[in-house]
Amino acid sequence: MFALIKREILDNLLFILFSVVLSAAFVLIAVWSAYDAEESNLIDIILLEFAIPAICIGALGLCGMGSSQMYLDKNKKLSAFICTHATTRSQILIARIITGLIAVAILLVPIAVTVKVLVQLVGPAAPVYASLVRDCLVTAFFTAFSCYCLGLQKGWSSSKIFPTFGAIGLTIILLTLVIIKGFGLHIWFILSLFIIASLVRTWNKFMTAAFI
Amino acid sequence: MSSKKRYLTSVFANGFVVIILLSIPLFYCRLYCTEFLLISMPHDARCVRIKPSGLLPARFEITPEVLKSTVTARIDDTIHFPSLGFAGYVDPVNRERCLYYYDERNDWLYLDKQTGLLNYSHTFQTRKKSKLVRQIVHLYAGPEGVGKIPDRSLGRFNYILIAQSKSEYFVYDKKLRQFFSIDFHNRTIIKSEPLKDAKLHNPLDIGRIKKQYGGTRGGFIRWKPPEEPVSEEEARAKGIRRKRNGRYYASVLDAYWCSAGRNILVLDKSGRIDLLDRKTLTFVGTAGRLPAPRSLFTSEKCSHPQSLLAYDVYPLTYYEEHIPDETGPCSGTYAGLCVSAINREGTTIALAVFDPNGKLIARQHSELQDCSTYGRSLPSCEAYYFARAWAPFHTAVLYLIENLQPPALSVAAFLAGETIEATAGHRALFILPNSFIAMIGRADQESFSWQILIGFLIICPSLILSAFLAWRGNIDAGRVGLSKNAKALWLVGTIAFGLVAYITYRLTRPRITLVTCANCGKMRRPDQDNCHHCNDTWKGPELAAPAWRVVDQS
Repeated sequence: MFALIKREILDNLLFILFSVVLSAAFVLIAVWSAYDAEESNLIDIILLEFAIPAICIGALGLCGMGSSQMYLDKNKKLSAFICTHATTRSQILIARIITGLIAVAILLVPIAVTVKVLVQLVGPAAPVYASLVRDCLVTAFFTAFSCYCLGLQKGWSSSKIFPTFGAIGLTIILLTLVIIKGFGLHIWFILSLFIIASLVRTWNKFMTAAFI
Repeated sequence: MSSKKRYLTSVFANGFVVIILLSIPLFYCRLYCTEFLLISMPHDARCVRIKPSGLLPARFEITPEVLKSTVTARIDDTIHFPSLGFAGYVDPVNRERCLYYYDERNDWLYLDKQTGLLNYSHTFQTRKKSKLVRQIVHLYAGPEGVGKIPDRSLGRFNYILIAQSKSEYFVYDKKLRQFFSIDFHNRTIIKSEPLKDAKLHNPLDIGRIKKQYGGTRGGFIRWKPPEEPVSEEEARAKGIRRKRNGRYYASVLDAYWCSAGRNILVLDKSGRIDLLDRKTLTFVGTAGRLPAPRSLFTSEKCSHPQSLLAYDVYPLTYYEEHIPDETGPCSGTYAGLCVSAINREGTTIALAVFDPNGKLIARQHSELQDCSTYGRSLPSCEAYYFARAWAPFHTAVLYLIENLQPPALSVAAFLAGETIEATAGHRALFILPNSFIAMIGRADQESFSWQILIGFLIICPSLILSAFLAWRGNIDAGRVGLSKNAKALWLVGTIAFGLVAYITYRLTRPRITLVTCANCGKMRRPDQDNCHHCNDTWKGPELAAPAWRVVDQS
């Protein structure tokens, strides 16, 4: 399994590096802003003007990563070749999903740590940002992973156009769910259902493809 | 996993994905229609006025020259965007449930969930030797007292409502069912006896009672006192510069406040507004209740706080003569209160005025006066949908979009739409409590059979669409060779879930290349032993050995 995960990370190094660069850029901008902005609105600026756009761009990238993983597999028959070694299709898919989770973690963990540290250092003593930070970051995780799962579904196609534009369109639709529902329990519940349904759908497609 | 179970899980997974992704663009289409309808509604139809307000004794307004007191309330220009979930996270006090007051100058009040104590911080400014000295005070308050350090002996608050009045804070703990009056300045706390009857008293809000959507002003009430004409010198002394009808006017009252005098207001879950004595923390009477705004189809339940999109309560306390020393609203005369409420669809605002004993004086609903299209006054709930240019078109579009929802969810909205909180209803994706079918479900004043009949007519387009898609799906299922049970389930499912089920069927239908049956000539599945049309088996060539042999006779 570790070998599979390592292989997946190497195959999708571009997307992993994209997550690294994006989260590093956010950390730098956030720390730089901490010197310039007034304390009273620093966290609002960091969260609403930097973190959320960074997560939206990251979500699009993660959707692209999922789409690319499945597109390459379907068209180059990668899993069929790997299955000739001592591994199964379910292990290949699980390794892919774990790689996606690693990419999400690389994107979100530095952002979460930076925001938490800044709130501790320059935030007010009153819990003005407690639920905003928690709700934003948890929603960001669910949203990013949902977009990745959407990419996994859309990528399993021979066409080049549908995985690209179809995935981008549906990702934008999914991201606007945050505007409708906000950051609380409602959106966590909906996105959890979406993630489970997407993974089941991807699993069924991937496993039945073994018989084609 | 067997192929049947795999197919079933695939169907449910696809169904969830389709319903979530389809609901989002439908939501935005509905949002556009409702926002257009609200913006195009005339200002008069979004405003309600009562003149004279009736709060003050008649002697204040008896003179013909006096401009009568008025109370007005209006629906904001936009209510749907501030109702979205994202907007609720902009204001810190709105989003942090335990934060009751926050000021950037180190003033705050919040409930620490870990200790169960109220954390209070206030900046005092005092003069010491002609210098202004700032002193920050941190205090902790619990049910048992106020202290400088968080201590268990102070007790523990659980789920609280809080209201501020000058230097006092009034707290209601929902778990203890007790009221508390906390004075941080003197570090004293007064508590009431626990409320015994849970059916009679179920406080929902105390103090300045107001419900807003997002960060807007909601059903904002403005009370204007009666004004008498004054001379130019008096007007200059009072700082009045504007003339009306060529004369200067000044208030007949020396002072008035948005306050219930010696009492504070408590809103009950039933919509009743009670008066609570500030000193004894006991109920002393009823101040009024939330009015029930009209809806397109009448309903008696609309005055519950959960069913209203927004409400605002304006209690009035006044002074007739010059203010003596050490005064405030507590020593004025309580005149009664004005209450405004907006219905859950955001189409009507109702305004009610109650006297000091809680008796209704006047009530008014917003309406469009002298509508040119209909030649009469229209209630604003009707004007919203039909009065202005392009409004009927957008209403029709909204109606059709609502009929794209699965019929099963429309039925759920009919039965249970009332249970969804009004503000959350504007963000609903699946069960729509503001849809036409849900409005029929709330029409309690009509008979249930009437509701069923009208409800059926309202979702007719949805049922017709579902029936058509079910028929199409059934034909295709027969073509691809699904079993009878599967076809029956898809038929029922498509009728229940409409477009969502049809899209799910198209995504999950078997993708097998069909071959021609040698017996009936129709297309059959190569993975099945029997043709699903004529039940014929596969006919393979016979492999019997030939009767002749090649013999070597050399």
